[in-house]
Amino acid sequence: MTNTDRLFAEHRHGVFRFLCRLVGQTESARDLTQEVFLRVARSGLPDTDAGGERAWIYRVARNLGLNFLRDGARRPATGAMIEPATSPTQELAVALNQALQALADMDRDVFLMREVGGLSYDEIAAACHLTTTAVRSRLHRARQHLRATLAPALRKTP
Amino acid sequence: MDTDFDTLAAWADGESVDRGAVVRALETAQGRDYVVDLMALRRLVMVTAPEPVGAQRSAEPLYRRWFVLPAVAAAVLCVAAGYVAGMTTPRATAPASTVMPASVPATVSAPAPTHVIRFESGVDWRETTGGN
Repeated sequence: MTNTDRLFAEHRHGVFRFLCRLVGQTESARDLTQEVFLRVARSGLPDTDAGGERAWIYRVARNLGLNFLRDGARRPATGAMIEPATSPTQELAVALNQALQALADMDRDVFLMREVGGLSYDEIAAACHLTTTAVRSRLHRARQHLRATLAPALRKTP
Repeated sequence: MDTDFDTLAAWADGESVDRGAVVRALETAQGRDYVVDLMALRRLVMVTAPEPVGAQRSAEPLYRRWFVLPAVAAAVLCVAAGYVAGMTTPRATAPASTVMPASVPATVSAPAPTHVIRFESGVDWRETTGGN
């Protein structure tokens, strides 16, 4: 198994979910996930440890996602990523997406890297070019906002 | 309180934090509510995440799927077994009932008509010109 295969196997689901939240469209997130790993394959791995690899992959994913949104001047569609009638939590998903889109871009991305990608604070700092203290601060702000916005939804989360 | 929340968040995220600070933060009702909300938020993100089924399927090369190799092996075995069976089985001869009896004459005449229908020109049909 090559390094790219290994990285793809380990991170494709996390990257896909991260991009889904970022761009708000399942199909586009799928395409962008493929693009992330194509870039990884083309450019080769940086000389770093596993945490550095993950930070690097999410940096590529974030850049591609932001480019996608910027190029089309698109805003994530808050309801588009929810597959129709597949989940009883559809209402919650729409509420979460709306709350996420109300965050500052960097706060949202830091939150998603933590909660969806499972990155550590140091990895998020490396991926977003921030200090670890800034990551903690942004994460805290994002959570406080989401907590306030989604208070009713959090009480009935299945 | 924000410092307490920050400590609890870092603890919930698996970061290294001072144990005493976590205990102190959890002694307050707001601290405990915060941790519960963090977990609920995490759960909410998880349960509403789309499943990357299509990405997984399209990403996996066909030859790596578990059922492909056995299916190909079975098909090859069937073809090989059919070929061997065909080569080792004696050729079937024509059934005896299809052999022409020696008593049949070389020329066979048509049977005699049982009824003859006659038509007369000018009565049953008329000759015309022009191809109609």
